[in-house]
Amino acid sequence: MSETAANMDQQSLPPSNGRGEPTIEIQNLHRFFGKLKAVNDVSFRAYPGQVMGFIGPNGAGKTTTMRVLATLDMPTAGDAFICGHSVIDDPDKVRRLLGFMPDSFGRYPNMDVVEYLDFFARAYGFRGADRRDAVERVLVFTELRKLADKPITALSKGMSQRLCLGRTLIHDPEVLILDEPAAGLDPRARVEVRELIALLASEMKKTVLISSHILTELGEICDSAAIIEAGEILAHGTIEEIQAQRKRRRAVAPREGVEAVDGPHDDDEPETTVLGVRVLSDVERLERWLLEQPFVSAVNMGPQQISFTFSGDAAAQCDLLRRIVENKFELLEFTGKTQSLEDAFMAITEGITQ
Amino acid sequence: MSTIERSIAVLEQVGDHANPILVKETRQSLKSRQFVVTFMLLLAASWFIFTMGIMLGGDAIEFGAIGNEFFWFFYVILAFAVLVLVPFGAYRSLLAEKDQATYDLLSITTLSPRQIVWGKLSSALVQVLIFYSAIAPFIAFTSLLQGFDFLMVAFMLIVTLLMAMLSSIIAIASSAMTKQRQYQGLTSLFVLGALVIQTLVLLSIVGRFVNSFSLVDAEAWWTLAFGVVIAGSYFLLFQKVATAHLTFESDDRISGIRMVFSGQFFLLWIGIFVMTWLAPLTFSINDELVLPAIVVSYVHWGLVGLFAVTEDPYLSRRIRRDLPKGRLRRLLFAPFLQGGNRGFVYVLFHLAILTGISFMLVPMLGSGTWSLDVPIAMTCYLVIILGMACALARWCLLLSSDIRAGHVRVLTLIIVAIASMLPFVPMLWTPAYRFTFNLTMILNPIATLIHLANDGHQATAVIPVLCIGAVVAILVNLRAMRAGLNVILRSDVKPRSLVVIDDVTIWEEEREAQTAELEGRE
Repeated sequence: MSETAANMDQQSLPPSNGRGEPTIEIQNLHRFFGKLKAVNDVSFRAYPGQVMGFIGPNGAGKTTTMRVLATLDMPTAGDAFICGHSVIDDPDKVRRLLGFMPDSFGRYPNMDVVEYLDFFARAYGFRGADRRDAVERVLVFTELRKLADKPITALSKGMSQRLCLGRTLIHDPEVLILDEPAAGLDPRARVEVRELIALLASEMKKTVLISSHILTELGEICDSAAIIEAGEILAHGTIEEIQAQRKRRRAVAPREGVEAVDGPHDDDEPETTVLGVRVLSDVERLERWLLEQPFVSAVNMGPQQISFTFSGDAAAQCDLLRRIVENKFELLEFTGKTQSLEDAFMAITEGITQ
Repeated sequence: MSTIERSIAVLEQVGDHANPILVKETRQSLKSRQFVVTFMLLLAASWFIFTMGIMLGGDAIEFGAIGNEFFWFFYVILAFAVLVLVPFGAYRSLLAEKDQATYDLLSITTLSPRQIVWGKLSSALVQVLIFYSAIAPFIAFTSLLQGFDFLMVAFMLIVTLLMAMLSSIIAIASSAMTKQRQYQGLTSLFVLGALVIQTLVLLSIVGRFVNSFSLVDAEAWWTLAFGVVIAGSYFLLFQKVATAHLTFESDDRISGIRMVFSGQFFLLWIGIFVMTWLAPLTFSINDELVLPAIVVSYVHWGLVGLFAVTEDPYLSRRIRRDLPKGRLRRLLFAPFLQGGNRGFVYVLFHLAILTGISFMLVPMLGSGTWSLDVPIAMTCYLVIILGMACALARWCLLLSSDIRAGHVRVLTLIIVAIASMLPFVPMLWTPAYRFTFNLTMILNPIATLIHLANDGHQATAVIPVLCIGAVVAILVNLRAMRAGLNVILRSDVKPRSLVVIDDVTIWEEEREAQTAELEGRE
């Protein structure tokens, strides 16, 4: 009974690797709603200047975890720390260091952009010239200067998200928690929000924990990720570390209630690569031909190109390319695709919902 | 710098130090259609009354003493605006923050829950003052008429302003307590109905009071001062309740409320002693003053006790970390901290004082009133019922964490109701049953107290039984009470460590403290 899970977990968390003290640290976090284990023993860390993706299907526990971090909810057990301050013991200190952008905007009626920012600057204790400077800084950063006098209810979704991000930045926090910041945005607005977030991490050295369903976009700005499903963290770290954890995890133990399909022999499983081939013609013949080749599986045919999973090594890849040319396929492109965040997510999660 | 620029600069400086919510809500209100429409309606109604009054008043306008009647019309409109619309607006304002998910944004700023509550309240005050300023020209007009009592009008306006603030804080506390979205419609309707009824009642009371009120009547002034102090204590209580409901779970939400309850109790008795000491000609220790005060005090501790003794004993690290340093200060502070066992200590302490006051005052009332048996019985009943509730809460929490304090309170009331009805069961099958007090009636507190108040023949048998019951109730909770106090006295915040119990990881230290308290271990 007295063996401390905290100590055990300290060992399971990855080392800081010279990245300094973690700005976000979650230790054995639990949040239960009656019988529902919304968050069940979640632990991970994030460091200054890091953009960490927090990924999981709907109902996985992302928002609950983020709400605990933002001091909006009390954990059932465990704790979370922002720059070393506990969200339970020192929520007031945490609030000074943290900017939280929830998935819903929260509009005030009868208020324009500058009044909205001014109110939050006041709420964070800014007075006089400091307050005006803080508002101006955010207006400039989010490029909302020209909309300063516009009612916030009249803003487009993209501009609303910018304003919401601006509100999150008004007190210049060390850590940003962004819950689905790009949800419902058009492609241009998504790119703009993504660029702003990348800038916050790279230029301003903020720690950003961001959840999103658009994994391709997260993959472009995140340097690490935590994958959560059914309230449990399945993997966390950089994409490469996640892949490694995935293999380790499958080798060690199957998850509760899930058949051990892969079995212990998965440790010997060869590396798989997704390859793409583009040809001028004969796509269907190429598809049939590929299906007969060794190491090839999961063949997908597009208008002029085919993608497939290849489980052979580099020499086998080279041999496959040689045989494609020998078989007189009019080859335009032969590309290897690195494992993306999306691939990792799909490989690790099993679509369990609570 | 011109005067206007200087004024703007001064306003900016004032605004800088004003509550941010007040600034925001004032800005929003001035732009809101709802406020503009209400304001215009108030003006239109006042203009209508003014015009109709002039037209229909005829010669009476010049020669009749109709100043007060005229004022009444304007006062009714004003009362409806400031006693119904403003508090309901305050209620809706906090609820809307929750609905539109802006409350989350607000609560993660550095604004404290107290600042949020005061911000909402001060914006209600600004609205009240705007309505007052709108109606001011019409009241100024009535002051030119004969029969206008300036002091009385000023008095009514001040009382109405204070009532508007009290109603607003109650409305804000109600909206802070409304958690479930599905009940919002129902609670809104309830709050609106309560505000309308309260306004009608107040209008009738003010009407009667004004007619009988004399500015040279010392008793009226004392009663008024006493009423204002009691209303002030309720204002503070609801402010604490609203703040507690907006406070983060790991913070201390209870001790402020318990302190106000204690304050109300002592205020009542200090008020009575001060009045009888300073105005002996007007007030004296008689049964009309003392007996209602004793009954009110017992009802007060019955209600407060039911909430206090059934609370969850969980104390967060944050609360324990911020405990006073000295042992004596901790001991004095412990009964005010959350937890049923400490709650029972808290109630027992106050009941002991109340019994002492009763022992001191009841013999002074002379013959023909209560004997000391009545306060003894009331104390015993409360100790028995609250002791049972305290033990029930502890046992239920040990059985399952799904059982909440609210369930225990309802269960206690059901047990008391069933026990009260049991002595009357024989009436069901005995058609010729004649009600006479016997010892089984002891299960019914009301019947027993009436019997004792009427100097009943069974008093000598009843009191020992009740005293034994109270002692048993204390003994059943004694270990738990000691444990509840010891948790505070010995509470040192140690480094955190987690344990896994029943597949759930929890903080060892907090679990230990909570379990020890529930089991009455030390």
